[in-house]
Amino acid sequence: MTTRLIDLDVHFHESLSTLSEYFDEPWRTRLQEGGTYAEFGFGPGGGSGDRGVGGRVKREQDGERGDVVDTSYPNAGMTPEEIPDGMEYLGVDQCLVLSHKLLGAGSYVADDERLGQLAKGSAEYMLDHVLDPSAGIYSALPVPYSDVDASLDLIERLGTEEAFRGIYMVTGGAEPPLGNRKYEPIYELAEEMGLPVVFHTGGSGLDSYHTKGYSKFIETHTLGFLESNMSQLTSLLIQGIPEKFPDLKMVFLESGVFWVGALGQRLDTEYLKRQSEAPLLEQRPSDYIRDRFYFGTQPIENPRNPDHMEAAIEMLGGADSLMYASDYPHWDFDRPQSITDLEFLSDAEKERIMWRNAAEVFDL
Amino acid sequence: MTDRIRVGDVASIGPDDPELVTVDGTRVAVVSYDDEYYAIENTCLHQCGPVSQGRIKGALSGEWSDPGDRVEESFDESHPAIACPLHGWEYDLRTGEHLGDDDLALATYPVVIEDGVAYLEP
Repeated sequence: MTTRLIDLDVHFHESLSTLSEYFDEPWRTRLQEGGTYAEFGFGPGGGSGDRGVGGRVKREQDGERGDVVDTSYPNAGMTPEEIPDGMEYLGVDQCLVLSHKLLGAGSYVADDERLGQLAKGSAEYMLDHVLDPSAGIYSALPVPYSDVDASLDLIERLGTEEAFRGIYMVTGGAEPPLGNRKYEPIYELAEEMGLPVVFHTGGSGLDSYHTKGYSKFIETHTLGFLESNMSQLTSLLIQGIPEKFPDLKMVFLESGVFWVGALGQRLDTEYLKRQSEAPLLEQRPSDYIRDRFYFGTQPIENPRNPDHMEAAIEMLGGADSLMYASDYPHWDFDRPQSITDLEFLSDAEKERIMWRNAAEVFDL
Repeated sequence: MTDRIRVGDVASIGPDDPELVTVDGTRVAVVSYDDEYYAIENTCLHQCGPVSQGRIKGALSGEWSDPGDRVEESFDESHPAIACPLHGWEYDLRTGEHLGDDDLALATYPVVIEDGVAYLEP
């Protein structure tokens, strides 16, 4: 193991009933007095499909215990105590806890108020009940990006809190894509305040999301998370966000590592033919990927040939561009050993991935 | 040292009328654009397309002022570029460098005009 361990992606599954007291009126009363219908109908839900693989993944089911830590996710809202329990289980010293409820951000399309209430409610609830910098429990502030003004208000109001070490934007379903100029005031403010942007993927489900009608969850989960991150990284790059905001730090989470090199090569091939459509870029897209972006490790792939993993990591920028992320307590979480057991990494490279990069970027 | 190479009468050279010569085995296109003459290697570094048959125009540039503003795009006529007609790889006519990656560069040569005749000085 390494001398220290920072986990960039732990989730806290909030219940709406606990968040509603932080909502503005009339949303608070609607939820508190609306009963099951109001809660059920507030948001788009978690997407269809069985993440537990028909009872095989036991860890996240109520009442199941073994040599793993049980959580109430996904059957009920988690309790704040479950975060330090999870950290102890993984051996994590510090972590960023990201709102689970916000993962559906891109699906809140009917109005631009609910997402703002959800982000504000989650942020304030987390500050009051979950986050504890003295115990290494930090977060990134959820951004309700469909309402840019509300996003700016929230960042200005809470972005200086010690517990919030960055801002958090969900890539799944974000339309227009996150390189669109409408979002630039968010990036400007984040850059001014020294807040890195955590782009967290999302987006899978049998009956909804970008491609409808897959019959097995493996299909939509394989591609949904990947496509969401690819869409947004492509948009950010081609619209010149790295050039427009030279001091903005950007981290992409939850699509593994192999996609990055493939996307970089695809973008470069297009760019050499159509660079006039990306006139702000001063170098190849893959150069920006290596120089300006960081990537979370999870869910780390399992190639038979370790040389392929080594090449994939090298293509995204090497150990200097990677940060350990568990995604705990979600069903496909990674233990730290998934990285520290990679034999081609030197001890110094493991230290960078397991904590140093995150410590530098998030000032932890 | 290769001697000066006679290309031809300048009147016969235009953006759409390149003259081709061979320099030490390399095919070179001599073109004119906006009253200037340029000589650039004729074989695209991508898939060997005939660069001289491509469009010449000022490179497209983008100016961005403030967050939320559009990127203002314009053709920079002080920065002429030629695009290979096969796939659009675009090169700076003055330097031969690909507009998207200056590690990729076609050879360029000085063009001298004397008495209405264009010459290359390799």
